Amino acid sequence: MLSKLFLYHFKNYTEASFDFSQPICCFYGPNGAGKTNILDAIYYLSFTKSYFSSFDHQVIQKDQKGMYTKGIFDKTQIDCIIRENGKKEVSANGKQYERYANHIGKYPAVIIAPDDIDLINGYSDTRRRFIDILLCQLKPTYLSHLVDYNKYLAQRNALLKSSKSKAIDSVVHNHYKTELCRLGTLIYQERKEIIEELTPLAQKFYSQIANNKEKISISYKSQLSEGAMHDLLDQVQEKDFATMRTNVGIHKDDLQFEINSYQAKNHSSQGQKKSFLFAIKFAEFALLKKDLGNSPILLLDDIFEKLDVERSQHLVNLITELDTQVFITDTHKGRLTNAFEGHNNVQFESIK
Amino acid sequence: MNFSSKLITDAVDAFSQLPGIGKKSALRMVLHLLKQEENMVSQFTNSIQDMRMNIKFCNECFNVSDHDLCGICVQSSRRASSICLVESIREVIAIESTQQYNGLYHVLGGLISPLDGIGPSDLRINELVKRVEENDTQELIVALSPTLEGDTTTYYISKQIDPTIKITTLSRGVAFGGELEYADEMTLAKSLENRVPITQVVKNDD
Repeated sequence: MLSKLFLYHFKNYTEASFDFSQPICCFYGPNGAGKTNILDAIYYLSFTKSYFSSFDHQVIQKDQKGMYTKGIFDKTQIDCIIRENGKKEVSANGKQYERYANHIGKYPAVIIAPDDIDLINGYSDTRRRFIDILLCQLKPTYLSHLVDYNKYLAQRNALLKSSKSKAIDSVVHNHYKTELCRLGTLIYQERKEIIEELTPLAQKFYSQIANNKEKISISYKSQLSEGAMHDLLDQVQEKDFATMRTNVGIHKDDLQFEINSYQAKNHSSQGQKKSFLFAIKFAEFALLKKDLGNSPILLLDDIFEKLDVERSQHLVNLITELDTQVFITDTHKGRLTNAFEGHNNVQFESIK
Repeated sequence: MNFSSKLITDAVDAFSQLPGIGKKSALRMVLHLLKQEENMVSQFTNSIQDMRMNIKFCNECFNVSDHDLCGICVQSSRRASSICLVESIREVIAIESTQQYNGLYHVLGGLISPLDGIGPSDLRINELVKRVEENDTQELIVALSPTLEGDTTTYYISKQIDPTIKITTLSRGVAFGGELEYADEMTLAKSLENRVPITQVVKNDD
């Protein structure tokens, strides 16, 4: 559990410190006060990077050159420092990590922010990335398979493009095909298994939030479910040569989200989509918790956005049952205190 | 950077084209040359020019050479029945400095990578196939980088060479002086797969 957080020159905070004595902590305050930045700082301590800013220098307060965040997790003090020369240091109890990778995963976190609705509304690459990031945390070999697959894919596509000027060497081409099939099939199996594990969990969470009113389904859409990748590649070979790229493979995979058998992306309300997002992310949380043996911290940004009163209340009830540390932001104090009425393990922090 | 002399500017620009040299280092080198005697600088530039103009590539193995055949290929003490295939001259130097190899080399000149526009015909593969056929080659050691491009090239070459010839590759696994804890899973898995008898690691006294 995170018991202390200290920020110095982090985003809009010149200097601030927080003590967390309860498993659930709610931050409330007006727009632009810096509620989300606190969640981002906690995320930073967990992943050694920001969730909202792609570049490290963007987490440093305006007109400053460095920043410092400190968190006390149980008995371990984690420090993240960006020095004035731009160098980043991450240390545990004063001992600096040589590789950030050795730190990531020790204090896991799952964040849910309004922009994450892209998982439902966005393009298929967002959904593939979600599954990939989850699998990378669960299966150590998954990332190297994926990286190799993408490299072979790029090489094969370059080879197909070169057919304009010269004949394609069949030995090289066959090697790329064989490797793509080997890696593609491995990745397909891993994705299929994880989605089968994820779906019932997400369905359970959605039912809780929507009070059993609707039923959701998640289905894995992959060309590889129609046959062996080698046969599929043979079938589209002519098309591949004409279009000069690879038309089948796990790089075309997608997830289909449905509510009562209607596609969520096109036929659902904003609140339904948001409930779906929570259900998937909570399922991710449950899988990570089971695998890591270390319960991830939940960071819920703008928690009640788009949800009706009833669903908000179900969501809060669900959170209190998750048995993990949770950080929540919302603009209205009243809304938070009402939702958590009767629960005494909650603390409220005003951010001005 | 602004210099009062165009000559200095040109010289700095020339030096900063070299790999790993920025404007500041380039200026330091130029100012150093400026302090030298004129004939010292002439010698310096001549040696660079000579190197570029007169360098040859060995007719047999395509290593750098001063003559038609390189210093390694002319040595009669070298075992001609063994050829070590490498990507570039850099690897020849690296393997030579181990003093463990007493055969000949073949410099491929790159790796198959369509992304970089390099196909098999851009490399000295036909020359290798011919060399292996015409000479009494017993073993071909493929010493290419363990990358995707290296593996593709290794696979391609294995399909071109007469299958009766013994082809080997460098072993892959945990590095010397490396700690197991920090080895990545793939390296460790490979090391487990290709483990070696303990007699290769522990020398028996008797």
